[in-house]
Amino acid sequence: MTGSAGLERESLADLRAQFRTEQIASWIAAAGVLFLALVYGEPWGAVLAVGIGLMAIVRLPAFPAVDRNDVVGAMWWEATGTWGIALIVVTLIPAALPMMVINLIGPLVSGALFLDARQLRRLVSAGVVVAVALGVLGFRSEGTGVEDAVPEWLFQVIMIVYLALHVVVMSALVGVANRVRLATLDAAVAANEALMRADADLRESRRRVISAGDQERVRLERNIHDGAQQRLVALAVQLQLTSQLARNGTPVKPEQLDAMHSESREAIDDLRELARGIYPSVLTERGLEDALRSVARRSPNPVEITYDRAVETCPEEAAAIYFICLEALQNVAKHAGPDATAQVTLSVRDRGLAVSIIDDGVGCDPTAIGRSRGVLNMIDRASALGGELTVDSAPDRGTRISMVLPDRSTANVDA
Amino acid sequence: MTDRMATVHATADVTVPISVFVVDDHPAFLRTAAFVIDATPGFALAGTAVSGTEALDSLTVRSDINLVLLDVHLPDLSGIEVARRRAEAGGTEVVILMSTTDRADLPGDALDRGVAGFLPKELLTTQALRAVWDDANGVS
Repeated sequence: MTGSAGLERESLADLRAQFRTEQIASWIAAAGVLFLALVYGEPWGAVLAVGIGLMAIVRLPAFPAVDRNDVVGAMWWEATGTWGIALIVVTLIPAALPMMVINLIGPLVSGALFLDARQLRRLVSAGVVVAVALGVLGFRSEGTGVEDAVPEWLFQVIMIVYLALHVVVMSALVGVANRVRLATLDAAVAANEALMRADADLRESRRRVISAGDQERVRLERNIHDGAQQRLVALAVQLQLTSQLARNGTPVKPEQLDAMHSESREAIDDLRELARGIYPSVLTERGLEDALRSVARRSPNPVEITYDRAVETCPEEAAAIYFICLEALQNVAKHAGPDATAQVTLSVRDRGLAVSIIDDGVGCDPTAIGRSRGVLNMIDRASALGGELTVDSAPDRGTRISMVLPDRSTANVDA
Repeated sequence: MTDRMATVHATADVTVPISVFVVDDHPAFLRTAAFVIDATPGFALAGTAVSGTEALDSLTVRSDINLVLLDVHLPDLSGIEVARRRAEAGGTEVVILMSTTDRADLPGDALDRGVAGFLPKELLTTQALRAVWDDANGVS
């Protein structure tokens, strides 16, 4: 396609139908002229019929052009054929000049409706050349007198019918152009609405990402405050007390030392859990597969992991997949019931990644899924990487979480 | 109020140990506070509570409590609110707010109503326990 804006498929079909009507009209005209030439034994009539037929053939490439969405090309083939007919008719019958003006104007009207300004200027330039040629031929040509072979009234009827038919053809053309305009407008409105919806979704998702980050900070602060910090405070106070007792010569009770030891051990456990929650070191040090197997080992429900060795992930993908699987398996532990088992599968699909977490637990009400903060969090993580995540569940039917991440090399181009 | 406390203080100093009530939702700190109180001469642990409501219930029925070590962050009411309600109910015990939070992060009026002082949890020692008690009773 060159120069012109792309048209919707329906509009192209309209344009194609218009060309077909003109094509049929040309062949009927050629056949009619040939018939009269035979009836009245006029050789120039046969020449005229052949000329009209040839120009109809010249217009045939307009069909493949319109099929290729090459509106500019189609217009030029149409214009060449239509103007060609006018030039041939006026050369043979100068008296037909006024009628042939409509052939001169037809392609220019189509051009004005379908072409952009630059292409239209070229078509109008060509139209000016054709107009001059038609004028010179019409006023200067001796003609062949072919029209004299038929009765005058018949020639007049033919010309009037020709004129009337072209009024219909030209109106149909304007109608097509109008539908094209409306279809283009509808498409633009629909595209704009889709864009606004996507923009709203994106803003909502961004808000959730920030909110999820803040909630995570609140959770971490609570965990640190209630866990490690309290234990360390207790330990500090007890150490201070023990040191004071020792300085005064009071014997230190072994259970007090034991309490301090267990306090320090629990503080270490708290910090380890906390660190893993912030970012699991196994993920950075040993990779996604080991990190997932570590999550599976800690899960109270049996978890089977199938990890296709062809899977390759960048750090962002590894983190997203890890936290999505972690969330999903925590949900299995919390909601799927003690007898549930889960399967985590990572595979390569269409050069992208497919991840699924499937359990055979008690499932849940599908309408509750969209409201879950954890699920929204998973969806946001997937869409941030250009992927898609779906959750399917029904009571007693288990839960299936499927995520597809696109091929990274093309995902960046699309974004 | 100061006169009343001075009386309590005077009595306690001579014969009966000062009864300390500890309010905290972290068992680790309750244990630790018990160690410190136990190791401070003249002070005895009289009871504990793990929430603001439980603390209010206990303090309403117990008239023997002289000193309350009250955590600011409790699962139901804040320690500040507990102290305010005790003051409104005419409680006479000395209330010391405790927290792992910086003093600066507490509300500006945290120590205004019913609170005699603030002690960061990690600074709880036998000396600190005696100091806050003496402070609240105007002993220098």
